[in-house]
Amino acid sequence: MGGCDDGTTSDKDPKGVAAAKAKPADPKKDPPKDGTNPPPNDPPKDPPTKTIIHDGDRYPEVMGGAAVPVPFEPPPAEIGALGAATAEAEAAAAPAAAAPDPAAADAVAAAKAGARVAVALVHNHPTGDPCKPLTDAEVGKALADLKATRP
Amino acid sequence: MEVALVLTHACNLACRYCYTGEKKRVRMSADVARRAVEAAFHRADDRLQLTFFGGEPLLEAEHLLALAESARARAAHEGIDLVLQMTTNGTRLTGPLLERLNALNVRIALSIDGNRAAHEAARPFAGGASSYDAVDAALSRLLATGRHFNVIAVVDPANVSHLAASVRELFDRGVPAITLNPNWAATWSDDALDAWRDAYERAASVWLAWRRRGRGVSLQPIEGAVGALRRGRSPSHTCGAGRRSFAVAPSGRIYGCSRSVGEDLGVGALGHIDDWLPQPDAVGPNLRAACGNCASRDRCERHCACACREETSDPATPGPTLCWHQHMLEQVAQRLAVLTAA
Repeated sequence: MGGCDDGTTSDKDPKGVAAAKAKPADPKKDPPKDGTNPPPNDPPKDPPTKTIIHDGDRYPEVMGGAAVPVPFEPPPAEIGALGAATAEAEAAAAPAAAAPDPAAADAVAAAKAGARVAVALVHNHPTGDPCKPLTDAEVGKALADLKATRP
Repeated sequence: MEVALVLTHACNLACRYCYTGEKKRVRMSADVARRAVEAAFHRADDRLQLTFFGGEPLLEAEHLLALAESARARAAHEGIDLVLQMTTNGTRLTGPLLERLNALNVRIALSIDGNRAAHEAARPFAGGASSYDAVDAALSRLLATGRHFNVIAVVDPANVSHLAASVRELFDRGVPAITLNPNWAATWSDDALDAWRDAYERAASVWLAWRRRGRGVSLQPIEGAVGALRRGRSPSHTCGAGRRSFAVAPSGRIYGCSRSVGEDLGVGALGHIDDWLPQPDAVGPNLRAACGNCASRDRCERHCACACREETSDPATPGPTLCWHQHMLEQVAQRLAVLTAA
């Protein structure tokens, strides 16, 4: 049922640039076209990255459609920063963070050059088994924590 | 510049809260569309967001695709950063059509009010039958692509009791982004407002739980309110209607945004595509004056002239529901900010 269950999320394309259809094929950088990406639970060989989820209003910096992969921070740090959820923080972090990744640099360079880059903005499920629905315990814990902050 | 093209007034649904008025069988002609796209490019600087709207824009699917293709070609030729978007009820979003839209990189906002109970509360087909199964099928197709898309869910007194469960179900299925779009014009009883407050708290806890899982789902306006608190202001704290955005009706009339078009009777129209230019002081300054010294003024959704108009008939005057919502939203956001700052 949908993107979580059929594995068509970023788990299969951790760098988030595979769908840049206009980009010339580069077997060293592009994933295989036969769908033989690692299964979702396999640890990726390269450091995992995520793709910025954006909409036009909140993420004007990337409105051009070029998704900018950035290194994924483990959940505690990400949650603590919150900035990972906000457009400006993500966009501000993206250029420096993406620089070491040649594939990401290619995508950004192509976008800046005005190339027509059709990019699939993949879901950013970063680790483990994120497609499983939340458990009642997870939601209950979050709700309890939220209620505990009531004035 | 953000430009919306209302391709048709017709729609195959009869949503009880729809703000666009009578579903006339009036479509945008090829000539008006050509001039509208011309106007959009003429008024764009180096960036243009072109949104296809309705009625239901996929009732004019071939017209939409042709416009999208020509706009892509023109943007590439002129070096303009073009974003194509479409808001659809999904009932006409077939697999082959979705492939063609994806090939043109048209971003999709799917209107679905949540789970079956929420959706069936107010979004039937024009003939009265449930539209849920058709929209649900479109949602599954969108999820299967793995591409980013946005769900737009109207929050209405008729469905607010299902809101939290809906948010949980949609995120569980893999939806990456949800925008809750309140029906400001509705009559909200005290009980309904209490249910709304409770629903936001529960929906916020779902958002928080996913973040703790490590998946950065987007839930607006709650997530945006957290960011606005951190920044001290909303990302777009003034309305861009008539300045940064405009909409073109099938008649060729220009309105501030797609929500202003309604039945295209000319009320509130800013001009015509042949002679109108963006007005730097169109709406925003008046809105700034409306809220006095309210502490939330720079973070408030009262920047949306259409939200104000829907409730008070005045684009510069926010109504009581909008004010109540803003303060309720900020209370939830402040507590989320505490939890996410630790």
